Amino acid sequence: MKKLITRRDVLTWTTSWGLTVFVGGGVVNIGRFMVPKVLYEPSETIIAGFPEDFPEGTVDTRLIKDYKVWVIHHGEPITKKKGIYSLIAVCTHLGCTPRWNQEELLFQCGCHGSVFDVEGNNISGPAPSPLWRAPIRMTPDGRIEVGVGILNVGRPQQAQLMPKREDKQHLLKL
Amino acid sequence: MKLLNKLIDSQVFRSIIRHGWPNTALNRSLIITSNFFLHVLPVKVDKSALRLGYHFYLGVISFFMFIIVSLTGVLLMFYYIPATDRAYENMKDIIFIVPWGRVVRNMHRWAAHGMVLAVMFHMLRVFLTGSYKPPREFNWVVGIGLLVITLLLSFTGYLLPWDQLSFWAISVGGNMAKATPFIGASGPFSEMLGFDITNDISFVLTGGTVIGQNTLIRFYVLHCVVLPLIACGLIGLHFFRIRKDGGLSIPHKDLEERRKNESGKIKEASAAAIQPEPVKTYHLMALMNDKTPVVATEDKPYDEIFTWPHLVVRLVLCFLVVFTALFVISFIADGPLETVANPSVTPNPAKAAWYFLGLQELLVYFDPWLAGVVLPSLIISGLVLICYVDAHQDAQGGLHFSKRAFSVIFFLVGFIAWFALIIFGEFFRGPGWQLYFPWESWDIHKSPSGALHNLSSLAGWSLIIGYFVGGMVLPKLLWKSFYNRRGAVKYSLIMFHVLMFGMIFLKIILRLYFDVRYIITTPWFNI
Repeated sequence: MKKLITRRDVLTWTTSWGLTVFVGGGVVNIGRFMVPKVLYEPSETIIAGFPEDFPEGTVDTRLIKDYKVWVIHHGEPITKKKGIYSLIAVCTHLGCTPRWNQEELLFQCGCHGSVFDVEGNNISGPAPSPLWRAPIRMTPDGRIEVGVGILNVGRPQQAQLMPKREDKQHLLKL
Repeated sequence: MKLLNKLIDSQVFRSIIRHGWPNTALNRSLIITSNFFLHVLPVKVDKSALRLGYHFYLGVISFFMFIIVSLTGVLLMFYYIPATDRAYENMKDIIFIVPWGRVVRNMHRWAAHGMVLAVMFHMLRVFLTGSYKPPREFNWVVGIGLLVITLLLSFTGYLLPWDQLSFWAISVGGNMAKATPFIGASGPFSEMLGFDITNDISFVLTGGTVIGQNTLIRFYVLHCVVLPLIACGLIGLHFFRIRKDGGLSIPHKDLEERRKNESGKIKEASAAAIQPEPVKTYHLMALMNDKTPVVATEDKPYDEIFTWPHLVVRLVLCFLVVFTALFVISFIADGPLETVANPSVTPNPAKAAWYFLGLQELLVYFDPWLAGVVLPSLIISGLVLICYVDAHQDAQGGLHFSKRAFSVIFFLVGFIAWFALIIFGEFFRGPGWQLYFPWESWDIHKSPSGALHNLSSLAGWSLIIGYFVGGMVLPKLLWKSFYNRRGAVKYSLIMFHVLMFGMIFLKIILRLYFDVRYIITTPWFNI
């Protein structure tokens, strides 16, 4: 027997699909509405200063207050490597601001007890990955420019990769 | 007296209240059914349902806490401005300048805490008395929804004072959302789906990549409009279902006693060849064939009294006690307010609100996607499942420990563990989240714990697989009746939750005694 499409079938089909599209579209677009398109967040790059402002073997904590970054110059007593790099002062565990402990040469996070060494490697506590490196470069007039703000980190997973942490963008060789 | 009677009989009064003084059975019925605010109540309630020692008025207390929180919240909204540079100053104004502002703010804070506590213990009472069993399963689920909404209301309200406590609690919460599997930037599998910190769930929730103005206004709207509306809807549904599911649960001991008396009465009556009086004399709806929509499925012996005045008086008394207690506490104890939020300094230690301290304690042992997302979800799904995997549906109105031994013990262990972790986090954790006893000074420096190691992949995987396979199979072989009564689906759902719960303690032991960081490691996630 030939199956007929009745008027009822057509109306049922259009009504149910119409309602589905109506509700689904509403949900999706309210979801889109909730995603901010403009961010009024702090500037993304700052001029940290001249290389002389950051003596060898020190962790500079002056920029923490306004920009949440440390600028670190390799060298004794903290490391045996060379170069300047910047760590973003956001614990990779749950986003608290760790403190630099000058006596033990460690970054310590008060929230859940994560501990990082001077290169940002997570050595104890719950932090799942090393501290993120901020992009760092020399401006033409010889000053150090640091990309602050978490937006510069991009995908957190990628930022943890060892080669990326040692590349030209994240380690300033003098 | 004459004047009063004249007033009651006047056209104006009669247009508002259409019945006489509630001193006759008819008027006591009418005052309930014809009053908008009271008609949520039944006209008559079972005497045993009013027993203080059976339900402790915990549900009613939760509701009154919600009323008080809503009223004081509206008062606070007259002064509070959700702007990062003004919120904290508004708080100070409310506390120090606004007449009664300090007490109103304290009442809002303490009633919110009280509501969380009352809701949790209400859940414990409903569980222990078996009141979640058929026909009340769905109302249990609605109750779990209300528990979650209560916690979310407290959490979103936490940010609004914009002090150090609130800023860092929300910072941690937002980062937990970031660790959600699939839809959070730092959670497992999110990278394959293309989520990063500029489009993930935490970005939408906090309105940006840092906690700032966008976060404050979002949490303000959630706290003052969205969540209260959802809560009101769920509370209405919860109350409605109490009525439709056959009223409050009645202690089974009372029911048995009544059945005994009743059978005696019937014997006497049949000896005298007179028809016994019908047990339930009042019919809720005249049009219904039976007594009430659900109650009639089982012929219970009723012992009912009028809601007005018996229940109404108790409700008013309960409200007065709750209000007075909160008022006195708010007069004496101030809600905490730390220094203004400072994104560059994290207080050490930074503790979450007490009801989340149990989860914060788990963060020491598990990655955030597990401790902050998966384990809480499992707690909720486990609570919801309680009413659907139940094997003894008749064991209601009391503990029935011989029938419910397993579920009662599991629930109590979970409930106690939850509060034990909270107490541990509150009183035994100091700077750097190190172990400090309550009598120890936080000035003593404690160096962070030593290096941790991961289990080798062979040991880790065989431990996990052995644990889950063994945990699934062994109870089935050892307690056959436990399995047979529930069937494969219910059994595996129960055991999955039991095993995940056990895994928390397995991991804690491995961490504390064997310095194990992860049991298994994969490129995407670690456990």
